[in-house]
Amino acid sequence: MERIMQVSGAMDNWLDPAQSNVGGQETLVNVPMNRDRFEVEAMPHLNDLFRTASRVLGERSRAEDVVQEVFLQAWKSFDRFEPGTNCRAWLFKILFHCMNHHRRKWYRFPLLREKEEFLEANLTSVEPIPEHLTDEDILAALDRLPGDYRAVVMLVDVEEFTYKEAAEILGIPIGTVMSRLSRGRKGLRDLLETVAKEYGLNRAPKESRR
Amino acid sequence: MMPDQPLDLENMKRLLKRAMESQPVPADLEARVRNRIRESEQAAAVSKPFWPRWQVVAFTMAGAAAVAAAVALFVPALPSNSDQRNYIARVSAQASYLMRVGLGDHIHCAIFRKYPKAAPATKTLKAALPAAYSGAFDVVQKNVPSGFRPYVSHQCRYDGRQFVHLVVKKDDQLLSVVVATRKEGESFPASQLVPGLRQAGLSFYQDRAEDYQIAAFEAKGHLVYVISRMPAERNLQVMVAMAQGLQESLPNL
Repeated sequence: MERIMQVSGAMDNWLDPAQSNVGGQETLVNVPMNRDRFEVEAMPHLNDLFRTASRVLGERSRAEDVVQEVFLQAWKSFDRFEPGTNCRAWLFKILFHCMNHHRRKWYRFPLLREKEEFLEANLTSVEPIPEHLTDEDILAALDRLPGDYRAVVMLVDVEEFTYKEAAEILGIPIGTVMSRLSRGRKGLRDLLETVAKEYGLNRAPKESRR
Repeated sequence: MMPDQPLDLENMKRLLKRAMESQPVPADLEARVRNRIRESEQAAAVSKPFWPRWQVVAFTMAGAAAVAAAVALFVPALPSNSDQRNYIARVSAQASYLMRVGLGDHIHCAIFRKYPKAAPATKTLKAALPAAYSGAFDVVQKNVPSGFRPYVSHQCRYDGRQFVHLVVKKDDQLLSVVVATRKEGESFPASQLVPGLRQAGLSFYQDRAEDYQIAAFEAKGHLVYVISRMPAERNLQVMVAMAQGLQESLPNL
């Protein structure tokens, strides 16, 4: 926790919503800090942020620390946040920025080389697979995706951000979001298919009709 | 387990969302976030630029005078009985009939109350309850959010109904667990049923009045409430966490 606090000063500029274009906001004006507004606009997203952080970081205690830090930073900058703009996207941007700050210390995103190995190993099957999968199976498969793909899949497919918002949150081009999403989805699908096969439960549509 | 279906994109998204939502969120995380913010504000206030000494003295004296005036004007700090009744009536009117039972008790016995600085000993608190509800105390104590401690336990009677009431507290946050006797035929309205949520055969109900959140269930001749100013979801989580234990510990009426 102390470590997180030490770097928070370096995030001040980034955290200024006036400099953020998340949610398509072009111009923001100063508004008075408002605790009630923070409660209404920011706090309801706490669970989603924690769950995303937990999956990205792979450790609940770290996710707890990061989420606290995210809300603290958001609160400090909230007087400059315009009501009605996309607070949720803004919070997620802070979240990913916080997580990136600690990447060297304990981020578990695999390196690019690992990503390529993952693709070679996994992007082969196009068979549909059944839904005999528990939440644990799905989360385990999600965890096996390379971190960059996992982040995009979670932002677009779970949190339902647009490509543009996901690109803003992650600070990457939209084209990169799209390609990571495509590969991430495919990788996830193949991993789930493998799990289903291991269970011996895999029955493709043709087989199930026999 | 789900029926066989091809895992198309929409299915995969749905499964992903379901799996993500299955991850439990720490019960006290929201409270910890608020504490961090509060601590940060306090730290910021302390580190404000210092003023010249004469200003400090002047402001201190002015502040002391203001506090003295406020104390003179507002002692006793608690509202008068009629003010309390008016407030309870006004707030309760926003909740459904059966939810008012718990809410009224919470406001009357938990909100309009002075608290000791330190939480009383568990032994003292348990001694204030009928022996049959001793187990309920243990369940509450075991399941309250992190940092909350029991401050009040008592039984009272109002409108022909007996109440066992536990108040847990953390800083200025209060949470009541109210166990009231259930009269014949009483049931929470179906419109307040929390859809899709059942645990140990119990159904849960929710309501709110102003910023009070009420979660409740029916068990063994009792109506059980958790009431606080925490967010509705959090309040409900606390209720669900202790529901089964409470149901098992409550005496049959």
